[in-house]
Amino acid sequence: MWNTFKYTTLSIVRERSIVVWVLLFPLILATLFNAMFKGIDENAHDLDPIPVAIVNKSEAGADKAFQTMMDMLSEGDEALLASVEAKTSEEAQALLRDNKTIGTITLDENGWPSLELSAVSGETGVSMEQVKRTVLADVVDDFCRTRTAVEDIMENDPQAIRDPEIVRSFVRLDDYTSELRITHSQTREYVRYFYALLGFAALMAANVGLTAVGAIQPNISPLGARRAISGTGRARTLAGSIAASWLVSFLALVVAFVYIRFVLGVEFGGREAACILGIAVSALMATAFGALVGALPHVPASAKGGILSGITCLLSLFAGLYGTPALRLADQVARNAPWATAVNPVKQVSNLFYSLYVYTDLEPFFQTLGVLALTTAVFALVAALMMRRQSYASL
Amino acid sequence: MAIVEVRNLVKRYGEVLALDHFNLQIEEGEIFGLLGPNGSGKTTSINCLLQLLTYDKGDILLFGEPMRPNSYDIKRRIGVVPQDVAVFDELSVRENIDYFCGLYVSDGARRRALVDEAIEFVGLRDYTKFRPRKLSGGLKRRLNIACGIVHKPDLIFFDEPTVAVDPQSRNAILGGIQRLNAEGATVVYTSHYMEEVEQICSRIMIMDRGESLACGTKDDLVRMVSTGEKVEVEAPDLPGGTLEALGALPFVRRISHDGTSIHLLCDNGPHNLATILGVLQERAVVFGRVYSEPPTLNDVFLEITGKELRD
Amino acid sequence: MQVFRAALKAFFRHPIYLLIYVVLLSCMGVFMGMSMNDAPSDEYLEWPRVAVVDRDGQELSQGLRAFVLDQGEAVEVHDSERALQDAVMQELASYILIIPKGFSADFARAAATGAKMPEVQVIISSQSMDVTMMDSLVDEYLGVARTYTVALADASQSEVVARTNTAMAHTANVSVVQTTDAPPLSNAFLVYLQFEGYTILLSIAVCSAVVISRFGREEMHRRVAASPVPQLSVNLQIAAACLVIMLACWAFVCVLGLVAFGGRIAGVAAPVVAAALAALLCYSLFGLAFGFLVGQMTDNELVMNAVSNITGLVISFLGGVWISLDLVGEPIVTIAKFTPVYYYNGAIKAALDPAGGGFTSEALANMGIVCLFALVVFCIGLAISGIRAGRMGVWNGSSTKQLSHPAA
Repeated sequence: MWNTFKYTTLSIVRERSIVVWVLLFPLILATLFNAMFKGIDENAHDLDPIPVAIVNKSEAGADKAFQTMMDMLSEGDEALLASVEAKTSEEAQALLRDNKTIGTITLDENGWPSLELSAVSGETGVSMEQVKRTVLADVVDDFCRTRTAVEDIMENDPQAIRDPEIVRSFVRLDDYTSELRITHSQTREYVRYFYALLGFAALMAANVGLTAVGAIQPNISPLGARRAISGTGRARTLAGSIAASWLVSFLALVVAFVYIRFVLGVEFGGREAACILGIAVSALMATAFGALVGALPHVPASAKGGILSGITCLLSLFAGLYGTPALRLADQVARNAPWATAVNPVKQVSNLFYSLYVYTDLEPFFQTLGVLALTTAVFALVAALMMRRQSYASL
Repeated sequence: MAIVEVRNLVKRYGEVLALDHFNLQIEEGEIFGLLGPNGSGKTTSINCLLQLLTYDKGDILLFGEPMRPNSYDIKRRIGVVPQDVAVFDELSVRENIDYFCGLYVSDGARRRALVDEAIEFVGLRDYTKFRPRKLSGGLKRRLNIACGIVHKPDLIFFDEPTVAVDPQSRNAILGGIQRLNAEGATVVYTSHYMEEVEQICSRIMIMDRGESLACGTKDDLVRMVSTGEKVEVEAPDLPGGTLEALGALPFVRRISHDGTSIHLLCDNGPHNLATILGVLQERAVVFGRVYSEPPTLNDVFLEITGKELRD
Repeated sequence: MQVFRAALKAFFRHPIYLLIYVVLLSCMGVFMGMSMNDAPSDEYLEWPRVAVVDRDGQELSQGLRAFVLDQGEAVEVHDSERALQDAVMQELASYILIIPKGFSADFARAAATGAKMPEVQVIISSQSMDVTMMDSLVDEYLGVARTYTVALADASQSEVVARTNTAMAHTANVSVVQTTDAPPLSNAFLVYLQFEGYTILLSIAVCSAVVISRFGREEMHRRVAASPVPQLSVNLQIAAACLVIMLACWAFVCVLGLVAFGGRIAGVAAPVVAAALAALLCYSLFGLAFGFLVGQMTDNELVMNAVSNITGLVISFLGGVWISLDLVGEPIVTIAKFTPVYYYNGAIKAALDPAGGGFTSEALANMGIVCLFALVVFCIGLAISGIRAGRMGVWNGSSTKQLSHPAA
């Protein structure tokens, strides 16, 4: 068994394509993710001024409050708005159509604003355009609410308005909310992409098990046939191969993990030891899955890698790997069809890390670990049923 | 004691009958040749022997014990050199041989010695660090052989080990097999090359369509067939009626004249040549050189199967 | 036509590639598209799922609770650490507001004395737009409530809350206008096409690489080169076979899209849809060229798979299929401009532009650039194949002009 283990390990790590799949792929993807999210973080705070057209139909003086606000928002280097006057609604419409503005604010005769926004053009996720639309709507709403309150007080409690504190209060912007961290670290959506990436990497690591099993199955390769008729029992050959596949998968995933955690600085809730345990189980699941695909009869050996990567891509979609829309889809599926989450090993592996990140106690982590162990057992059982034969009707 | 004993083995692939009540008995110390055209059931019978293939009927005993898929004690005494080169592409020559040795021998020191010996045996000493894909076809075959014999098995199956091998390598391989045999191993050798089998095998079985057609030493086989020697007589000018007279001899099966020589195909018989020469002298035919060839395996094969061996 | 037929036969003998890459992966695009709600025209953003944990229970906190729940899709969450963590883990609510005990009283006291105002706590699972929006609404509500508390010093808190609610209910009239007369385009269809850019690149690249490499293997190459069929003809036939496979993939994606999203684009003018599908065809050509390149570089199917997958993922990432490009910053966008997917996206957006899409000059220009990318990659493939052929020692009569020798 040691002999099989040693040489299977050697033959795996010398196979170029496996190294590409299992080691290089996750590293490249993680680097890419990192570049993307860094960009988002850096860009999050500098919003370009929002182009908006103003159509002023108010009677003289009725627009004073609104103009004051607009001046405040359009001034300085950090201006929120870039407004243009439009004489008529038609002119504003034209600006909107030519994408010169993203909205038109129309003041009625009493100086109350209404807002028209251009229709959202096709975006897959949240885009800067949507951010700007939302901010614009918020600005206009805020104005209306404050003005209502001011007018209400002036009308019903005129004496109060003499208090300068009240006047200050209208323009005073307090921050009343603080983020409560129930998790170990600040919750940031993008950690989930890295977790999904690890799930993806785990399944890609199944390529190792796939290759190793191919090399011991008599009906798959001449090498497998040659090994089957040797003096070493099948169980021992299998155990040696599985152990070698597991070790290689495990090490590859650990490399990916170390890179993501320590080079890219992605948070794992400060529970690195548990992460390693999770990776160990994930690698076992991957090996079992690879063995399952590898043992499939009547499929050309060369096509099995294709099958594996196709399945991995599909499962990764439902683990939210492919960006914001995919993550949303994954969440929808998880809410509406929890069983679909349970049978998706990519999602389970990513949940493993996410549960370490979210929960203060380790119980959910061990639950997910249990699900993965069960998945592994099922894969292994089916694979074993297919590999159980020692003699074949034909080769 | 019979090292290999197969009784009434039947193997079907769907509708196709691959082995039809096949019987085989191989004694210790033999080099046993399984001869037959491609598709005659040689490899199938070996794979059944090794329990790699299931079979429909029959008994297989190796070393006097029934063979089962998990008879590892028996398997440890067997070496196999399969038809396809079955080695790890990613491992070097030495690592491959060591791996296969390790499937049989766990003691490290002993294994090292065995591996060295095997490398020496197949003459791959200069290539121990090479990966298989860097080796030529002949060297790859030698590696394949080294992996099969490294653990010094008592019984070795060589399944067409010389396919696509250059003459030098082929001679080296055949010589090696004889040496292994001299060291005590029993060898089962399959081939569709007549001359190889003639050269090294002590007993030969001729197979076709999953059946054993004939079995015995080369001489046994030759004796079994009715075809006797082939006689060729150089005689450019023939007096009329000579061919007819020769053709009328009871042992002559076929006769022809190509302008320079007479070709005769004779049944087995003690005095064929003398009788033919007698007829020629009787008719005062002027003749030059006379050749007489005893029957070959090819003739045997031709007569038994009705077709040429090489396809 | 021998080579052409043999190539197609060899490929279709292994339908597993078609099944996995073309059918299965295309369905990913359908899933993605289906998950997009085509936003009703009067909504300009999606509202979050919100939950409120009210540990205070006084009038102000009740008012705030009602207000917040009214703004989004209300979700029930229990008040325990585990339940809250579950809510984050399972994305039950994207915005959970926790009003601490004694908040209303602290609030009134702080407002009256001018001390620092107390805070409510929020739990968010992701820093998204709808979350920021909710955050500022909460700030506004409490700001107005503070103003009323100061102004109506003698009034009860219930009056403050009532009048705050009235003021907060007064929002501007926000509408989304359709700037053209054309019926609104389906976002889902656009997303489908964008995502299919990834899958079609992958599937065509893998499939054609498989075919090309079958003929690129050294012995096979020699044998074909030794036959009386001219090398050029052999290569053209292989190319034709790949083209047929490419067209089949493209047609499948088109039909799948039209079947899945036909209802949503029912009113759209035919040229608009046709232009978008033409853009996909141009991008398919790039996939073909890329497959050709990969087929020249290796004949190991595992490596082919890996290279196609990695490149496909990277390119689609850069194409903004995953995360909107305007969020990620200038350097990435600059890199993206060196990939065809950027122009593919430009082409389908121009083609499906609500303000007059179809075969506009912008759409055509983008398609042209995509085709140029295909051409460049194809030429690189040719160069590599020439070098390889040279190294194999196959005499092909054009070794001095390797670019003109498209050995397969």
